[in-house]
Amino acid sequence: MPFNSLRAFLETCEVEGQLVRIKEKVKPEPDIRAAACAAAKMAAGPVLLFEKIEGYSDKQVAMNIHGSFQNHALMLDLPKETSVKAQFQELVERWDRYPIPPKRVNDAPFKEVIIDRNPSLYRELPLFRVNPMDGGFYLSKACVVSRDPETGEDQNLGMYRMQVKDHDRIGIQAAAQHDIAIHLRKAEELDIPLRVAIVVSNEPVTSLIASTPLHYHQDEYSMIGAIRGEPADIIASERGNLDVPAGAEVVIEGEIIPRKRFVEGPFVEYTGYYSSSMIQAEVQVDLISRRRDPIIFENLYSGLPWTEMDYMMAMSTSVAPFKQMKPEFPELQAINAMYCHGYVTIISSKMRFGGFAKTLAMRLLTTPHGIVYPKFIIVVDDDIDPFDLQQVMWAISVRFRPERDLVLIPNAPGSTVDPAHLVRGITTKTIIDATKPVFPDIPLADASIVNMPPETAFWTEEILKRRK
Amino acid sequence: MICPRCDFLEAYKVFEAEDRSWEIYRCPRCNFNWRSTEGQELTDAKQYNPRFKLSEKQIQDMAPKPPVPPLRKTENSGVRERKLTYRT
Repeated sequence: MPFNSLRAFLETCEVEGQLVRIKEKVKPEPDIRAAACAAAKMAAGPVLLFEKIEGYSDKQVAMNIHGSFQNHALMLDLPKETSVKAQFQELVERWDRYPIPPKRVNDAPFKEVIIDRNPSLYRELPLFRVNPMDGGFYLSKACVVSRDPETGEDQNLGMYRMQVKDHDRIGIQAAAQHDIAIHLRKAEELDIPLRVAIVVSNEPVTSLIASTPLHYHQDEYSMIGAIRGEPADIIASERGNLDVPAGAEVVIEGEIIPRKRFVEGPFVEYTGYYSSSMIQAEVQVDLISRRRDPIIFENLYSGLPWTEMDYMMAMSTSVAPFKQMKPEFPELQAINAMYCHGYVTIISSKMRFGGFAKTLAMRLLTTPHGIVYPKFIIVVDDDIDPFDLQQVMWAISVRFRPERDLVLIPNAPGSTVDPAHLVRGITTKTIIDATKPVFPDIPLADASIVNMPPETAFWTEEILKRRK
Repeated sequence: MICPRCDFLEAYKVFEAEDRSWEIYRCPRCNFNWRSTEGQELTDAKQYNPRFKLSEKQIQDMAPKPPVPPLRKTENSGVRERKLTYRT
């Protein structure tokens, strides 16, 4: 059964041994970030629920919700040991169920407490600093809802870093390539505020899709329905005609102040490096609605990779380009773009003819996500699981011929937050063709590959039985 | 109160825990927020990592993200634009 709230997901995690409760009192800093870092680094990293936080008697914090492929599988209602490749294939299939439109409900637990005078983020949320040199306390996993201010259409649900700066002020990173920046630009051209609802602590598919780069006109709620296999429950915001997930813990409403920018950052990005301080947009908060205490505040630890952020983004950066390339290239098997949002991407495919690996790599570079992010693309044959790095490294070891299979494309578009840049936003795209040469290319001389013994699968079962 | 990050002198206490276990301070110039219990390398302006200090000039020179677009011209603004067919 899909989950209707973060709480429902926590229950399943507990049953499955993927939840650890921290019942002792912890300090907001450094305990929460250090424990979240530890959970993300361990094998099968569990969800953490901090039940007592110094200074916040009636608030709890949940961390590492997406922070392992076991948690990721549970989110998709799959057995927790489901392989990464199988989770990828499951998402590829569910993607095609789009759209499953959301279901409107009349009441929601977060409508129980409504604060519409002097709302204070410091009072309502157990804030903590995610990394030591961050510019403040961040909401690093909240989802933001907005609409095109001119037409009232094209509602968007996105995840952007947000810095709490005062009782009722939050900085928001509305980077130009994101959908909310289109809404903000229109509002600012018209010199009107942009109404937003900031939704804190959601069931995990909501966060997954909010952080997936869908097309501008695609509806995130209908994609959440497609991935869940069941409509998402939504309810109207108190002000401004926005739809918010009904299972949320806290909803913060307000408007982005038009045509003004304020000091924001730094904050640790997905690269594992601090981004620099800039002046960014800011939300004036006018209303907070929430569940009765103790609320559960879910936040994201983004530190030295791998962390929860890498697990959360792993599939969205892999499935989206795969779906975009597959219609033209049915030979395609899978794409693994889970290293720093796809800076390193591995494509697995059957080969149509000699040189085809280069065609695939260049096509990746013309997908919406591929234009900027990938700078190191490895292409492997269909006998290689691109999610199994032992296999990928073997393919490079024995099938890559540097004099023929290395392509460098200098002065190409690159990520603006890549710490290795010489010119910000410019990179060299590298293609490594680690496929076997096929006609009309010259086949490898004297290359007779060995197969696994056919009885291996039988013996795997036998060994596992005896091991239990 | 001095801001540990930008040395602005008008930082102030903005919130206090119910049980008084800590206070939160904010700087109205650089928006830095900090908790009294975070350790001197974060709360003391002299010990704050120089790599992350912000000067008034740095703040003034910061690039806006995203850039602020030009206002749309309305019909009543008295401004008319023509497309030229000939340029020198």
